[in-house]
Amino acid sequence: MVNVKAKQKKQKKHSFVLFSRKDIPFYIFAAPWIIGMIIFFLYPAVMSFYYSLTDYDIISKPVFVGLKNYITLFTKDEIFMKSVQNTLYMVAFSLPLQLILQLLLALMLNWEVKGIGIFRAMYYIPVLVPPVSISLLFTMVYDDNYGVLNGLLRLFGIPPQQWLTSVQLSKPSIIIMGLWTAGSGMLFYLSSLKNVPNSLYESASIDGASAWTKMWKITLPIISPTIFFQLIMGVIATFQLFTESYVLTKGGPDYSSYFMMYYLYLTAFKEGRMGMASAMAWILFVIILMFAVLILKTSKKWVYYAEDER
Amino acid sequence: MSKSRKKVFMVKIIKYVVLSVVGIIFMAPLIFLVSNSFKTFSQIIQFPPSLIPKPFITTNYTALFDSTDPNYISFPTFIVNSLIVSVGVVIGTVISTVLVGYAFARLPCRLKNFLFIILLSTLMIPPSVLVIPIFKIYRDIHFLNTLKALIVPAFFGNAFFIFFMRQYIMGIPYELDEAAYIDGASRFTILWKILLPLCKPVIISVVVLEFVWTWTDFYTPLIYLTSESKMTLAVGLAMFQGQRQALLGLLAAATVISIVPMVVLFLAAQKYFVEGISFSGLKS
Repeated sequence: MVNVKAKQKKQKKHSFVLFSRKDIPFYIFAAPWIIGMIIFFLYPAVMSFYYSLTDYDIISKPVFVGLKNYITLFTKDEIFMKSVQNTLYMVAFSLPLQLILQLLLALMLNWEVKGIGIFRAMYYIPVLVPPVSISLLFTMVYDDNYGVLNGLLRLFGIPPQQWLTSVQLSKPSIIIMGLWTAGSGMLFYLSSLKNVPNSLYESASIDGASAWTKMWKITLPIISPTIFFQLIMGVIATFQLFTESYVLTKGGPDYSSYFMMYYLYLTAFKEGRMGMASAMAWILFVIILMFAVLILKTSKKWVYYAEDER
Repeated sequence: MSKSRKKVFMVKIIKYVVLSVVGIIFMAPLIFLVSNSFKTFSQIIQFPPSLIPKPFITTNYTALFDSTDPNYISFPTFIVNSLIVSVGVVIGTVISTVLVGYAFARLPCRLKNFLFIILLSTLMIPPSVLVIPIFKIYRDIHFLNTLKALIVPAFFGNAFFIFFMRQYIMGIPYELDEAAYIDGASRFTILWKILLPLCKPVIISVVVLEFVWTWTDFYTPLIYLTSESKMTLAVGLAMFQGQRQALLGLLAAATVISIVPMVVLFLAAQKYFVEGISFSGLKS
């Protein structure tokens, strides 16, 4: 007992020393990331914050303007506000639908039937299609005149819809298109479903639990770390929707599919207003961070860890 | 008894029906894509759309590789560029993430928790925050409009895959490398001889995911590459999409070709793939 206490004391004494020789192997192995983190993360992050306080066109020197860019974005730039709203709309509607569909598909693929590998491949293959090609493909599907979707509607006597050319439908159309690539998250769910021990289901069956109860009391708690992971990654990804606006709708009609990343890209690389774009990027980051912290805070209530992972 | 067997059989049938219907929905756009790639332009835009190309033409494919064709769009160049970038990025990512993932999983360091938090926070920060200063750096060191701009960062690790690798290595019993360490093996030998063979599923997953992500990435090449001779497939396709409607058939054919390598890769690796990406922390 005394010994342990002495040891703890010793450790405490050392704890404010940030470096010891024993750490050297760690730094050798982690060197690529540490160097990369400084060049591609730390330095750019600091510079980007500085640029956000300037007028900067990348050719001439940045001119310090204080918080002007931020103030303009929040008070004068209606397109920016519109793009924030559109992006939040996608987080509110696209993301939950994505997560639910991914989980449903994974549950289906977890059925023990012959030839399941073929279905797994079928559901996953859309993920392998470049986003540009997906957007192109869905221009053909959604086209007002010769699109497949309106063709189908006409067969059932429903009048054709303006999938991409009306303010009401442009975002839902993009959401549906996104669901087509739900296979990416599906695989993560599937692999964690495979890790649920069969013995748990067996003993639950003996106790007379219904399939519904097993789902809520066994499956979902055990895969909750994956749900958590997918939720965080999904928030990050949804805030960065870009290709859809760029290729499919050009942000239109009437700015109804302008997302933050699309506006940011245009501001930076088409208009050369790097300072303003940097300010947008930081606002985007802060919004993502707020969502992440919120999810993290609530996660203690619903994410279940079977064993402490150290 | 026979009744319950009948029930089991019915359940199986229902499962197959559900699986197939969903499968058809997922496959339908691709089937149309393949069909369009063999159609003439007038048939692609014809209404109602038909599934079977009539006449069945292959000129959409041959035109992609024929530099004398009036619709030629440097497609072979895009493919070669995409291959160089994807292979380069995959090699860089695997080397760097194995090393760094091992460090985070196994090696002691006083600042490890702090560095790990930084690692995770790099995941949170949108690339658009970093892209402008990096663009400036690339401009200064003449990386703009070169494939290096896309490949070099991979050798400095990818936070997502480092996290992935760390989780996987932490799942491997520590006794294995401890025993070797006591026998006097170096850290590098342990990683190379003991851990790496066990990491096969996760490495294959990293290879497949990173290849697919690089191959399909649109944003990064759009920003750093400007000339047609340097473009990767994703941006190349987007560039000529807007040009002329008459290229629809050609574009469909190009898309089909761009998907094939990844489908082959996925099918070849899918067995390991599902194993490799599991990290719920609970192993049966």
